[in-house]
Amino acid sequence: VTDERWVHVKALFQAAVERPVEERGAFLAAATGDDSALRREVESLLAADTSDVSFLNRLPIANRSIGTELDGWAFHRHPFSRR
Amino acid sequence: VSSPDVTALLGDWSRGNSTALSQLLPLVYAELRRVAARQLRRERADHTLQPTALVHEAYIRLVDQRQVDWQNRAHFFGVAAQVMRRILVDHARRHDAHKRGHGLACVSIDEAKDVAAPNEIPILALDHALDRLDKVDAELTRIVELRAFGGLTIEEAAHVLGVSPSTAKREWRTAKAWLTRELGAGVRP
Repeated sequence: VTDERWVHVKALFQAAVERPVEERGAFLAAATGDDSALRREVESLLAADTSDVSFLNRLPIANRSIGTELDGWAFHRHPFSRR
Repeated sequence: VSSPDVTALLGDWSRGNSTALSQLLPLVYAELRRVAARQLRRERADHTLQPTALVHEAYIRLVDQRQVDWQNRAHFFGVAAQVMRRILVDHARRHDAHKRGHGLACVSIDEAKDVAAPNEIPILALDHALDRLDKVDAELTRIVELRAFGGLTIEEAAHVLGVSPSTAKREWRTAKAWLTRELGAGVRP
């Protein structure tokens, strides 16, 4: 996906996802014409959106060991020291 | 670290001084470590850390809130969310060597106090996918960092990104769809 292509895919996804599920097919058919690759690309995002298994609906929490590590790390080892 | 340093650096950065960012990162990183250690000493041994709570506590400790406007507050959370991502990825990488499939436990993004979820976030897979997303659409990566690692609401993330809340909501939904597709069934809880 090139940048320009992605801008197009994203715009179509965001427009389609606002519509009721039963209207999306017709909307995409009209918007993508005979560009079936474009249509499939948008449809795959719509499928991911409706799958509702996204772990991103949750925030990470860390167990105790991460705090032990953080407490013990020397300052010079922090990951931004080379910037 | 004294709080005027960070407050001043945030101001410098928002006025266009890009070297202020490189000075901010280690300060934020160090404070997140301190806050994490302090929280764990306070809590029962089996307690977990909420990175997003750490980010907020670090903010309260580091920044003089009387001298900071919301833009600088937003900048701080943008930096802290990136730092938190690095810390969690580093932790996961360390433990991946010993335990395959190690992830981080997670809580609902809307009700962060609900710690019941036994699911794990596949943090390394997410990190790699975010790197790929960054090449496609950097704005989407930013909103995921802010929401998932910084604990920002849609409204707060919108401030950081300089967009309207409705745009931020659309971007967040798009980012989730992209990452869910990218990571596929492998991340199914």
